[in-house]
Formats: sequence, C-alpha cells, structure tokens
Amino acid sequence: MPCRLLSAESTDLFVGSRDMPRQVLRVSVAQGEHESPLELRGEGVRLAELVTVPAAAAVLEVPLAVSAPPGSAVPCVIMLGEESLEVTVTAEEPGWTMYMVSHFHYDPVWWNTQAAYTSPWALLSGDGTTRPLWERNAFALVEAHIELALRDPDYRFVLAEVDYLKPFFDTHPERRADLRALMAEGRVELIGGTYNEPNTNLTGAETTIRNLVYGIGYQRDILGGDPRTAWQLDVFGHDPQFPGYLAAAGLTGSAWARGPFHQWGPISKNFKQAKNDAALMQFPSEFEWISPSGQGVLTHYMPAHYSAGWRMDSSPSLDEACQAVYDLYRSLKPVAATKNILLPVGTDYTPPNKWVTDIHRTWASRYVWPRFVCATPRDFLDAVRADMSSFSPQTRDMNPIYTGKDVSYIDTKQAQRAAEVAALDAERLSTFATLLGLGGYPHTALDKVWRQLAYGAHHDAITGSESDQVYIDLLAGWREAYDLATTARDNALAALTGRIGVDTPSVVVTNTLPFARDGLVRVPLPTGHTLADPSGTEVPAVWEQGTLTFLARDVPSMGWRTYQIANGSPAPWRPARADDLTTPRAAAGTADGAPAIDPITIQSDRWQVTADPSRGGTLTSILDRSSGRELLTGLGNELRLYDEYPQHPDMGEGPWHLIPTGRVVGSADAQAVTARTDTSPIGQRLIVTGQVGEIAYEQTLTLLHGSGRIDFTTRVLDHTGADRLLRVRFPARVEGALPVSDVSGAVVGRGFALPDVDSAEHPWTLDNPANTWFGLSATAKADLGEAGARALGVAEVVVPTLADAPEARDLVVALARVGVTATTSSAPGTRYGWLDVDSNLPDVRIVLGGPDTNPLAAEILSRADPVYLDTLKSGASRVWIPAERPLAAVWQPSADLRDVRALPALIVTGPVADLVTDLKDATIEAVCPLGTESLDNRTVALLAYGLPGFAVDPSGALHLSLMRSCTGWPSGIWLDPPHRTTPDGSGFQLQHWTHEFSYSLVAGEGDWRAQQLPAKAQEHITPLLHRTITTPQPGDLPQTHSLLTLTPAGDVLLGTLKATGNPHAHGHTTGPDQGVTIRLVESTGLGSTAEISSPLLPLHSLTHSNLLEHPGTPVTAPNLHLTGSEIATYLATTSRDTTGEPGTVLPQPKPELGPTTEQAQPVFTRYWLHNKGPAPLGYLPISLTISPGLVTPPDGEPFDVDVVLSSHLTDEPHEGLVSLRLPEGWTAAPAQRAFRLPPGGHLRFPVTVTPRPAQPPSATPADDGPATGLHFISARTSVGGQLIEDVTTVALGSTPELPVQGAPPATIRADRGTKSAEARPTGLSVSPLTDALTLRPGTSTSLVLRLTNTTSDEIRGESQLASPWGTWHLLPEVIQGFAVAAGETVDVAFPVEVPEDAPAGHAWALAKVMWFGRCQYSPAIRLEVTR
Amino acid sequence: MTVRVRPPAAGPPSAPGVGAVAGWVDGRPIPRERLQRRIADLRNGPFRATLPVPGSSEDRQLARWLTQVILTEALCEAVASELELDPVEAEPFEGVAAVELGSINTAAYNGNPWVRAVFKHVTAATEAPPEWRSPAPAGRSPQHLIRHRLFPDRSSAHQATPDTLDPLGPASLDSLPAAIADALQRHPHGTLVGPVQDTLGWHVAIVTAATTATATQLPPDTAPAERLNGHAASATIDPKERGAALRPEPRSPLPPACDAPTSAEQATTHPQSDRSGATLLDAARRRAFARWLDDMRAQKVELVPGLEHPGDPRQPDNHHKH
Repeated sequence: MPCRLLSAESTDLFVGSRDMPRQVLRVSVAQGEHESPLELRGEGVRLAELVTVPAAAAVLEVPLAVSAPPGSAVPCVIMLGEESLEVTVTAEEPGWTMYMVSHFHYDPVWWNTQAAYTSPWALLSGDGTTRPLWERNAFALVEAHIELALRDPDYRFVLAEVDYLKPFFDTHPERRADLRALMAEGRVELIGGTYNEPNTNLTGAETTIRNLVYGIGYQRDILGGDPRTAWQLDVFGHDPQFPGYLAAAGLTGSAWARGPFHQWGPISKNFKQAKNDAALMQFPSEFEWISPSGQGVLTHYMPAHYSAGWRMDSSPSLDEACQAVYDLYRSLKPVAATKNILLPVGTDYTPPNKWVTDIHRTWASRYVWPRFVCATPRDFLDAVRADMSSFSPQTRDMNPIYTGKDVSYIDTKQAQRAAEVAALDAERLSTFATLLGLGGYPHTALDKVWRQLAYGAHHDAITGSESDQVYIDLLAGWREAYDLATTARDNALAALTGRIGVDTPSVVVTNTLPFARDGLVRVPLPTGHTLADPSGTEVPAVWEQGTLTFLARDVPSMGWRTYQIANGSPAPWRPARADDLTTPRAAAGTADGAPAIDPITIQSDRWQVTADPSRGGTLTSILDRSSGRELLTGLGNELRLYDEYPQHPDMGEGPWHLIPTGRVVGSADAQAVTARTDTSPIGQRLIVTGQVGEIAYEQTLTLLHGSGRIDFTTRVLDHTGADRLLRVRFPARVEGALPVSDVSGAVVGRGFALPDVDSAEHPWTLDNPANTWFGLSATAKADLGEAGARALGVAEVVVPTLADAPEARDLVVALARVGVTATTSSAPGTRYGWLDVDSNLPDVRIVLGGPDTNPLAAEILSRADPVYLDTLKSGASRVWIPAERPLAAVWQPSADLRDVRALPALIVTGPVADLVTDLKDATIEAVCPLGTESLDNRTVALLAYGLPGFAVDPSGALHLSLMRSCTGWPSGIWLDPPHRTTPDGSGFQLQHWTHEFSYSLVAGEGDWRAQQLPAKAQEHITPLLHRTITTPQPGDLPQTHSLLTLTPAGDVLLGTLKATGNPHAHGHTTGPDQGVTIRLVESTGLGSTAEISSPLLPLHSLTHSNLLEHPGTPVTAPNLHLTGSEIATYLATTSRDTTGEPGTVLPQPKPELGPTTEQAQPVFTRYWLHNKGPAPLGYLPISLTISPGLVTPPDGEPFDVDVVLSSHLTDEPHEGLVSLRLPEGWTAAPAQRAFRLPPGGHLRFPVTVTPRPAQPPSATPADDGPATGLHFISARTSVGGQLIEDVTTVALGSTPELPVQGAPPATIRADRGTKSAEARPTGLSVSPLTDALTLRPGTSTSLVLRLTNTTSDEIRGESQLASPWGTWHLLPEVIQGFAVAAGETVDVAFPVEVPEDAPAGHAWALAKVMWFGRCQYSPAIRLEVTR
Repeated sequence: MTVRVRPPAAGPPSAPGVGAVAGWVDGRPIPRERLQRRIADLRNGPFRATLPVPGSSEDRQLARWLTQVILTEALCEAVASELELDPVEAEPFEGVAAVELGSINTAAYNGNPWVRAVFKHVTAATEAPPEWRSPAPAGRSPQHLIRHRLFPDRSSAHQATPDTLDPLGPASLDSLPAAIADALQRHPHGTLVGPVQDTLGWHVAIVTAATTATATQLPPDTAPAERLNGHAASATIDPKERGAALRPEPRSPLPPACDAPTSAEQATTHPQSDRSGATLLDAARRRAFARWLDDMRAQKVELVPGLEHPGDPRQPDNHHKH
C-alpha cells in the first residue's frame, strides 16, 4: 500500500471567520483507494472540524483550532488510516493585513525629455527621427488608472507629482470630477505633498520647503485632495531635516524606498549576492523619522523596494500572482511594526497591475487572514496608527545613496546654489522695499523662480543623472530662475539705495545676512578712482582691469554701508615672484637634471602658506599664526584625478554611482607649469598652473589681511578625459576628530569615507553631500575625565527590546539636535554597521540599561575587562568601554562593524532623562576605568560653493569633489535629432570646458560651533551686493543702516524673510499682502534665545506659523526660544486698520518689483512640449488648449477642432475672450468665444474651421486654393497681462514636415537616444551664423541665429540660449521671442559681452528654439575668451 | 495551489538543422536568424539613430526585448496556424490601450497580423468581469443654443443682427461672462440682447432655443465624432443654429468612434473616453489577451541564455530594477 501522507506544512493562513479564525495546516496526500478521515494530535492544537481526505491526490488546507500561544512550536502527529506523519505546528497570529498600493511615479526628466514623457503626440512622428517613443505615456497612465478605478470598484491607487498633474488636468479638465469622485470614495489618494520627488540633500532648505508649499498648494487647494503622506520613492537619500519640514507642513507620514540601506534594499541584490532578509535592518519598517529639529512623521521604508509588488503582473495565472504576493508578504512581515504591511504595486511609469483587484477579491474568498487588500497609503498608515501609538524613533541619516549624484554635472549644482541664494536675497530685499512702499512684492517672478528650483531639485535633475539633452533643458531652467531672481533682487536693491541720501558719488555695499560681516567686493570703477569711508580715509583696495576689489568691513546686518567714490590711484596686484617652470633653470639644476625650485610662501596676519612648485604647486604647509599650529599632515590643495569605470562592473549603471577603479594621479606627481605670487594692499596671493592627467589647471590661493579664511579658486582650464573624477585633497588630521557636515538647517556627524577603493571590490565609498561646508570636528563628545574624550559622530542606540524603543525618543532627539544621528535598535535585533546593507556606519553604541536589563550590555561586558562591570556595580551610571581597535582600523572598505567590540560602547544604567539633560552642552560625562580616548579640540573645515560631494578618509584627509566626466548611460544621450555635443564632439556629461571652483579653508580652536561655521558658510555663498550711485541724491535712509538685527548673531540664522503668502501656489488671484514671514534657523544645536529687531518690521504682533504660512498662536514672550536645530516660522502682522481684520502692513499694491510676463509673447500654453519645466510666469491659472495638434483635411475641406479652457483659480471666477487666429482667408465658427469660468471651472467647445476656398480657374495662380504646406490655427486669450495661445497645425497636401507613418514606435528601445546628424524638416530651419566666437576682454558681439520659415504661415516662438554656469555674465539676454512670416528669414541676435576682467577660458552656448510644441537645438557654439 | 516558478533560461542555444536559436516555442526552435534580421532591419532602418551602442549592455537588453516580441509572434503564428485563423488588419494599439497591454504585447500586436488574429480569437467570448461597472455620465448645466459676439464699442454693437453673431452651439448660459449671461436670463428666448458692457467690451447675444433632453444628457466631453454621429444632432434644432458641434456632415479627420482600439490621437485629444459597455469590453479583452499570453508563454516558451526576459533579475544586464 503506497504511503499517502506526503507532507504537512504549518502556515500562517487562516480560514473560518474573524471571530473564530482557524489556522491552516497544508497537507499533501497521494492517490488512495478510498476517502478516509484525517486525525491530528498535539498539545493545544486540534482539528477544527471533521476532515475527510478524498481518494484522489490532493493538497488539503486543514483548518486547525490552535489554543497554544502565538509563536509556540507544537509537535503534532497527523494520522490517516494506518499512516502517521510528524509535523511541527507553529501557532500563528491572525489579524495581518497587507495593503497593496497601486502606484506609478513619473520622472519628467531623466534620460528622456519632459516633452517625450508628457505628450499627446498628435503631431509628432512615430519614425523615431523626431522623438523616440518610449515611456512617453504620462497622460495615458493617468487615464489608465482612472479608467480602471471607474470600472473596477475595488481598485485603489495614488497620484502624485505636480509635473504631470497640472498638464494632465489642464488638458483634461473633465477628469477633475472623476478624480474628486474617486477621492470622495477614498479610492485615490493624492500623495507626496511635494511638487515632485526632490533630492532634498542637494539643495538648500528653502528649496525643499517651497517644494512642499507648491505641492500641497496644488494637491490640496487646487485639486481638492488631502495630501498627508510624502512619497519619495526614488530619491537618492534624504535631507536630515526633511521629516521636520513634513510635520511643519501638516503632513503626517512618509514612505520611500532608499535611505537606511543602499539602492534596492536588504532583500534584493545590490552588490554580488542578494541578502534576502529584511530583518538585517535594525528597526521596523514603520518608525518615526525625526529630524534634528525634533519634529518627525510616521514613516515606512520599503524593504523590497518600491517595485516589490510589480513583478507579479506577468504571472501566468491568478494562483501564481497570489503566491507571489503571499511570498512578498512573508518576506516583508518580519520587519512590520504592526500587523499591517505595505506592498507597493507599481514602478516607474506603470499601468494598473493586471492581477491586483483579482487578488484582492480571490484572497478574501479563500482566507480570513491575512487579508490582501487594494489600498491607499493612508489606509495603511491609518491602520498602523490604530494598532500602535508610539514608534521606534529614528534620526538615522538616510544617506549616502548614489554618491555619484553629488558631483555629476557639477555646473548645475553651482547654478542651483547661485539661483537659490539670489532668490533668498530677492525675497529679503523685496520685502523691505515693499514695506517702504517702493514697489509691489514680486510674487509672480519668485513663484517661477521657486518652481524652477523645485523642478530642478528632482532626483534625476540636480543629481546629474540626466541625459545630455535633458541637461540642456534643465540648464536653461536654472538660468531662468537665476535671471528672474537677480532681476527682482536688483530692482529691490535699486529702490532701496535710491532712498539713501548721499552728497558724493558713492558705492553702497549691502549685506543680506542677519549679522554684520566683512566680505570681498568687486566694483567696476573707472581708472583714477577709489573708495573712501565716510571719514575720507581711503579703503585698502586693488584695482585691476576696471574693477576695484576691496574687503568691505562690518557691513551691518541686513543692511548696508556706503563708501564715497574718491579720486585715487589704487595699486594693482604686484608680482612678488614668478616661475615659469617650462624652461628648467640650468643654473639651479640638480644632479638628476630636474630643476630645483624653491618652495614659495605667502602670508597674512593670520596665515602663512607654503607651496611646492616642484610638486604641482601643492601646499606643504598651512601655518595658523594665531596658534602656531600646522594644519597639514600631507600635501594640501592637491588635485586628485580618479579613474572610473564607465559603469559599475557588478551593479551596472553610471552617473549616479561613484565608480572609481582605484587608479589615481595627483597634481603633486608632476611639477607645476608656472607659479607666481602677487601682493597688494588687501593681501597676497599665489597662482600656480599645471597639468594632472588630461586636466590643465590653475589654482589661486588668496590670503586677505583681516580675513580668517584661506580662499581658493581652482580652475580647470581644459580637459579631454573620460570617466574621470576630480577631487581636491587637504590632509589635515585632527586627533580624534570625526567628519562633520552642514546638511542645510542642521549640522550632523558623518562617517569616514573610502575614496581610494576599487569599486568593483568595494562599491560603497561613503562620500556624502554637504550643503555648504564639511570638516573635521566634534559635534558632540563623551568627556571621560582623565581617560580623555571621544568625539561622537553617528550612534546606534540599543534598547533592551523592540517594545522599549519609544522610550529612547528623547535621547535620540537630544543627540540629533547636537548633530549625532542615531539608529534605535534592540538588543536581540540586528546590529547597525554592515556596509553590505547599511548605507552608512556608526562610530559609537549607546546601550540603554545595564547587564541585568539589556542583554547587549551583558554581552559587551562579558567580552570586556571585568573592571567595567565593577565600575557599574560600584554605582557609575555611565560607563564608557573603548573599542578593541581604533576606529580607523575597523573602518575599512566593505566594513562590518556589527561585532559588539568593534565600536566603543557607552553603557547607560541611570535614567535616560539625565543623559538627555547632560547632552544640552553636547557633551556626555562618563566614566572610563580602563583605556583612554583622545580628542584634539579644534576644527578644520572647507566651505564650498555648489560643491556638495565630500569625503573625509580615516587618515583625516579632507576631499572635496570638484567634477567628473561620465560616459555611462544615459550620458551622451540626445533625444531630438540632430544629435548635439560640445564643440569638441564629446558628450556634455564629460564637461570638456573651463570650470571654476571656489572653496575656503577655515580652522581654529574649539568645535564648529566655536568657529560659527554655519554663519561663515553663509558668508561664503552669499555675495555682498554693491550698487553705484553716480550722482548725489537726497534720501531719507542713512548711509549706514541695518534693516534687521538678529541675536545671538551668527548662532541664529535667517531661513527666509518674505511677504506672507504664496498666492500662485494656492490658485489665488494675487491678493493683498498680509504681512511678513520670518523663518529662523537655530544653528548651534544647543538652543538659543533669539531676539529680532527692525526699524520696519511689525514685530509687536508675531505669531507662530507652519511652513504654509498659516497663522498659529501668538508669540507672547519678548524673546524667541528656539530649541537646538529648530527651524521656526513666524508671521509679523499688524492691526493698523480699525476694522479688527488682520491688517495690511504692506502698502497698497504697486507694480511688482519683478517680471510678471514672459519675454516671448504670445505664450505657448503646452509648455511641457517645450521642455520648459514648470508653467510660464503666473503659472497659467487659466489654461487653454486646442486639439487635435495636427489636422490633415483632405482637399482642404472644413474640419473641427476642440478648444478647452480650464481655471485652477480657487478664489475668483475668470472672464475672458478666446479668439481664433487663422491663416488669411480662412474662417472659423465661432471665431471668438467670450467665456466665464467659475473657480476650478472649465469649458470645452468645438470650432469649425474652413480653409480658404479654392478659387475659380480664372483666378491668378497665387489665389488657386489654399496653399499646400503647414498652416497654423491658434486659439488665444489674455490672462495675467499675457497673451496665451495654443496651436493646431494644419497640413494641406503632402508636405515634408508631416510625421512619417509606418512602423509602430514600440518596436524599438529608444533609450540609447539618437546619434543622427540630420533631422527631417520641421518647417523652421535654425542655423547659427558662426560655430565659434573668440573674444577679448572688454569687447562685445552678437551670437546670431538665422531662422527660416518654410511653412505657409507665420511661426511664433521663443529662442533661448543655454550655456553652462560660469558663462552667464557673458550672455546677458538669453531669451528672445520671434515671429517669422511664411517663407521669410529672420535673424535673432543674442548679445555677447566680455567684461574687462574676464579670465581666459572656453565654454559653449547652444540655442534652443521652441515653437508650437516643437523644440529645436542649434549646434553648440564655442565661446572663447582669450587674453 | 500549484505554482510554476518562471524557469531559468535553460533552453538549448542551438538546434540541429537550425543552428543558433532565439528561443523555443512549444519545443520548436525559433532561429536566431529571425532576431538578427530584426536587429539588422532596425540598424538599417529609420530607427537606426535611436539604437544603443552595439555591444553595450543596453544593446543586449534591446536584443532580449526583441526576442520576447519575436517569441510572442511565433507563439501566435503557431496558434493561428493550428486554428486556421485568417490574418487580421486593425488599428494599432496606442495610448491607454497600449499602456494596458504592455510594451512587448503591443509591439507584437501592432506589427503582426497573426497576433491580431489570435487576439480576436482568444477574446471573442470575453466578457467584462461581473465586478466592473459602467459609471453614470455626469450631469451638466442646462444647455442653450446661443449666438454671441463681443464688440469693441457701442456703435458697432448696436449694428449687430442675429446673423452677424457667432453661433456657439449648445452652451450653458453660465459659460458666458456674467454681464451678458444675466441679461440673457432676463429676456425671453429669441430676443436679441445687448449691447451689454463689461471689462471685455460690448456683448450682443441671442438664445435661440434650449437644447433637447438628449443633447443635455451627453457626457460632458463626448468626442466630436460621436457628437457628429450620435443622437445629439436632434431634428428639433435648426441646422444652422447648431453650431460647429452639430454639423451633420463630419469633416473631421478623426476616425469615427467605434469599437476599434482607441488611437493615441483620440485618447489624448478626447480624454473622456466613452464609458459604454463597448469600452468596458475592450478593456476586458486587452486584459484577457495579456493574461492569456503570459500563461501561454509560461507553458510553451523556453528562453535561451543571453536572451532572457530583459526584466529577469537573474540576467546580468538587469541593472535598473524599476
């Protein structure tokens, strides 16, 4: 008789009912002769019902009644007739639910262009020569998800990013009703609460805050959603302060797929073998993510990445799809904080999953537990909150992820920095100008500035992971943001300085920072003039090439100082020594024939610096004359050129990874080409040139008298390399100090990096992004008395059990405030510190509880000398146990620091509250009975401008990433033919042009707080603004004046100061200004009591506010108490009027102090087809589209088009007139349409167009019917002072511009882009009149673009020059509108102006021509300045 | 539950008499030459400019993707032959339909008449799932037939006659600026109203009729083609008053609305697709075909090393896992 009982398997499935769930035992039986009853014996386990096994072979799901406690393993025996089988039944818990969240996310920029991702494609060709067709389906995706939800009542999904929401709902306004109906049913959630998925770790705080303002404004106010969950699936790490901003913007949750772990998480393969174990994470997937400010939100990390639930889409059957989901449930369950699990079902650009609603229904019909349900993130997070009220607190640094992002396309990071600083300055100055009645607040210009910055902060934009064409588009966006911001800023500055009374021609130097400062100012001044202070004393200055440079001193906080223009002859830089090392000096030759070159030294009152020209001009000494201390422990300011793989050998992928091969050359390996020193009344400088690898460089080091900084400029004059990374290095070991970095609004400790590895062996170099500075210092420390002190950088806080984690909240917050990010783990759980999984590493463990309560304390003590236990027993409440080996010895490539003795441990037996109190000075007092630690209490740091990537290696060498040249995909990809490259034929990602990098070294005694590094870094990135008053003027403002003071100076910084409210963000017609918003940043981490004073601001009625600038409770105390690292927003309003209404402090509206209309008019409404980023100035509150985009009427017969108007205004109706512009002789019915749109309303109406009728044969040939070729019908209306239009193309007859019919587009993989040199005709030919411009300083010319219209109708459009950061001042006007009549040619000329003091170098400019939904790009024109 | 795990690509890379194979369908080798030809066609065709660098990992992914398309075609060719199906010509799937069907399936369908034949056959008896529903069309404001024009000054407005006004077609009064809408409200239909001045200029308008009940029940943005063909063109309306939307003779370049797959142009131009039973059924058919293909491929297709599914995480070029 065959054996029938084949196997039995305990499961965590339950059948039965919710009241009486029955655990399933799965039993496999072979074919038998007859049916027989099944029996089971086990303690606390019995069959829930009579089970009869059929004769046939089967897998039975046998319901069990289990009374054994959950988790217990019960040995059981099952019997079938004579046979028996032993099985262990594990008692499981019922009640689990997995929430299947259908999602897709959308990258408007990455390898593909915005137009290609978001296009109706009515016009464009499927032939791959106009635009490749791949992932071009954002609109179709939104439709597909909405459609499924409308037909399938079980379907739920999410929509997120404003970059597709606005274009979609502007063109499909009827869909807003569907959206709202589905939202009312809770079946769609608008998530994100952000404009897009920004890489918050590469921008300043305000760029991130405005991303929330604009996201929430659109999602909540304009679309009527209720965004509560930040949805940051794809971003490359997170700004530590981000969770605090989410909370302060009213969001309650977040979810994302990267942060505590590298790219794909602890389950999937990252490098070499997959780990397949979510429990390698030290904390549950639902946790409280807390920022250094102490605010946080419930957050979910996605252990199996955001595409975890997508792959079952291709399952061949429902059963297999169910099994795949069940397997995921099993893999995610071990780290769930509650019995609720989130399964993301979707990935980039995915349609609805084929199985998800069937799984929802089928699973429910099979099992009572677990439940697998279609859900929204809110359904999930609400269920988590219902089951648990306090979560594991995590302040862990969710970095570094994709370290290449910190340096790829470095020029865009510099551009972002410049635009952001200009925007903040514009806000401050405009606020005061408006308060003084000098103009209206530039809401419209600043709205577009911030939206461009939000758009550029996208995780495939600022990260430098984009293709070449997308880079050009983005570069144009940053330029536009910068130009709008500087225009608004300069208008306000002109208005303010116009009110300063002066008796002589003067220069006003303005400081926008909230503390008095010194700073270098460069003012154009004719020869024979200099500046003098009010006493008439000449200011030490240097005059060179038409520019006077001087160190302005003590410029008042948020104020100005006025200098008189006086007669004088300021000196130029005078050469002190010059070596041309290209010709060896025979007389001084050494034995081996190499020239002997003496070291050269320059100095200021503070520093003495020595360079060695024989070693590339690197620095051999930096002597701090104030302390007599030498800073360098090796060659400083050395350029290091790293060889990189084109893509990672194991992981694949390019520009977002750093992929060094381990080979490196340094500038010290060769002698400098030239070296010289200059001296002047303001200080001394050293200039060296040389060659490192393929790079020709020039480095300038400037020591200014009276400045504490050493200022460096490194210029990459030229280079030809590929797959290279350039860093600059300063070995400056400080005993015991750890890496510390500014992260925008906070300062945190960061681990050592490993820049010199071969990434094929060790993929994680641990470079990190810093906002404005990084260095070696101690952000917190353990004071061990006679045993010394130890810096604390990154901590693992270990509680006895998972349930104890919430009790550590106060401690991890106190640590984070002072800069120590922490992972809260539990003793039995996984240790933090394995680089194969963890994205970063800790340097200390803080163990809460002694050996009796915390098993980890017991384990550590058991492996350490007994004296530590004795010390605890003798009453010490904090005992420090040094690590077995020094940190540098264990912090090695591919480090694994999980061993409990690999790191020092602080055992805390006393109350946690005491430790929290002790941390207020960022120092923990502890006892260390055996061993010593040492910490040299000083700081060495680099301040950087737009150079976020840094690495401090364990030897104490500071590395700043300057730039890289990438070839890995999608570098070099170009979508719209013809293919464009830099003038030398290389891809733009290789960056083969002249670059300038600026950084400064600061150092001194004490920690970074003592050095006030956050304030110093603000000075480094924020220029002093100068304005020349050429003739005496009366005025009521003093020559030296402060508009705002903020104390304690330099400890509390100003996040922003702006007019309250963001009308465009919320769909408001610009309303009256309600007051001033002031955001303060506590920069020491220790807490400060701030005081603001101002002669203009209505500070007597401050209220607290959230980030959305909604008034909260009044501020009652005279001073503002800020906790450490707090970012606090206040509103200043007055009740000057007597109505009792919140008053208007700002005078009645005047014309805004910035542009309110686009340069090119009329404005094309489908801006996304022009790869323009966000909507035009004013954000198109009324949108207008005409469709279809292309009509080919046979024989010129009449045809219909649809006109759609949509309002996203929320407060007022809009009335207007749409007119149809037609080719001559054509008619339309109606030809115009007056309309009214209520708030949020829309109108769609048809128009019949009749082309010009054919004339009788007797007519002249010219009148013989409508001309063949392209014609354009535009629908236009006016809004916000602009004429907006959309255009339908009408092709009569056969024209070469028509899209090519033919093979379906989907048969190609287009993501390698075009290499085509030619494009088919579009109707407009674009040719620059020159391919290179070479200019000398002080000259100007024009860059001329010839546009020829080969269509039968007028073409109107916008031409825009894109050029890299560093060239913008050469090209003062880069946007021009144009109109070209049929058959005509026009020249568009862009001025090119080279200032007198422009250095030699070369770059390029490329014209982007946009018209009627087409984009054309000229070849890159070489721009060269020669001296 | 019987669960098949997608087997590794373990098919023999060559077959006697065939040479190198791209994959196996139902035990039959599909010559690799077919893939090479497809790649060569692309490299020599209008798409050549967009193809990956030969020999790169993206190039291998392209070959893998094309292989899946070819094997899907081969699978359908065999089925069509076995069932003696006739080749089918049809509009390509684009927009929402293409997105729903998936890129490989859409490529196979759009490029191969046997795939379309099998689609037709497999989905002939498909019904919309019982859980699906057809939402009721949204309501809309009462519609009127309106003629209107805006004049720059009072004197030109005074000379307006109903014939010189623009026919707006069926429209709600509240879609007009408030000043003229209010005036029209206060006058009986058929009265020439105006001139009425507001910030836009001088309005003159006339309401000729309220539209019929059928017209007012139209979904808010039924495609023009349907407006042209459909019930809205009620005989109760004087043709010359209908406005553009109700012209009886369709001149639109748009294809007539029918149960053919929605073209991209339709889907994007006329976003509110018809939610009739036909559309539900179309969606159900696409889903059924995609599922049928997944099942048949799992049963019958054997992949060979180097030509795995591009999304298979086990193959070495599958770097980007999303």
